[in-house]
Amino acid sequence: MYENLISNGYDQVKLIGVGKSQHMNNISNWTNGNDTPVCADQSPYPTWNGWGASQRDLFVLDHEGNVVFHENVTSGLPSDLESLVIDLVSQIPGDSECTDGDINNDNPCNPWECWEGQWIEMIIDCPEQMGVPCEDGVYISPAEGECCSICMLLGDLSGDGIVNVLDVVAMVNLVLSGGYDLVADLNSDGTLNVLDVVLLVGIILN
Amino acid sequence: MNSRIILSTLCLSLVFGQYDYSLEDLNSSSEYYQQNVGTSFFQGEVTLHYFGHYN
Repeated sequence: MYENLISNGYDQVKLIGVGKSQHMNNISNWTNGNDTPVCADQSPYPTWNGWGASQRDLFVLDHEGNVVFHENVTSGLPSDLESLVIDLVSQIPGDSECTDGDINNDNPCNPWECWEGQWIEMIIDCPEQMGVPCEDGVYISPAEGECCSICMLLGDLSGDGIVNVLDVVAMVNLVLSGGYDLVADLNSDGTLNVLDVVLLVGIILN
Repeated sequence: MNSRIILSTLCLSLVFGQYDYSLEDLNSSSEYYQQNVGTSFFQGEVTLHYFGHYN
């Protein structure tokens, strides 16, 4: 049964043979053909006595050291012993694969956060993908490391959430430099010129 | 350092209580050969302990 468990990958199971020192002259009879630990309790055999063990007693302990099975197996192993051991192995807590609070943001649109030692996938719902309209504005592509587009108020070149003379100054500079910004293209004609400046001034004055 | 060893040993004793031992592995084919093994040695694993002998 033990070899069957090991061959099936249940390596969190250990079998130990406990004999008595007076019988260890023929230990090879016990160890031949196997690599399980074999020990000899020394007289007056405190381990045997402490465990209340008799010849051919088998004890099964869970991962916390609690006895969950104790029988004399002279007449053979119980048929359900292997399933018992497999069930005990399944109760062993898995190794933590991460530290609580860790975040994996390699893919900003599919971040993972560590919770109770396990990586949990986080769901990002971007407003643009959710169909949320960008009132009086336009969705700007996300910056590197970010997932969602940002709704920017048309004309708000400074990004402060309001449209004022600062944005007019920035727009004029942009027009004079021949640059382009989607936020500044108030008439959405694909170019940036005085027409957009006029529209922006009109928004501010109204 | 010594106090830490004593404290760790005491904690292990409290955790594993009665069903523990530390005896030398005499099987030369075992990967734990000549190490003192027992329940607490394999802490966190399921352990099977067979009491017997071969004459």
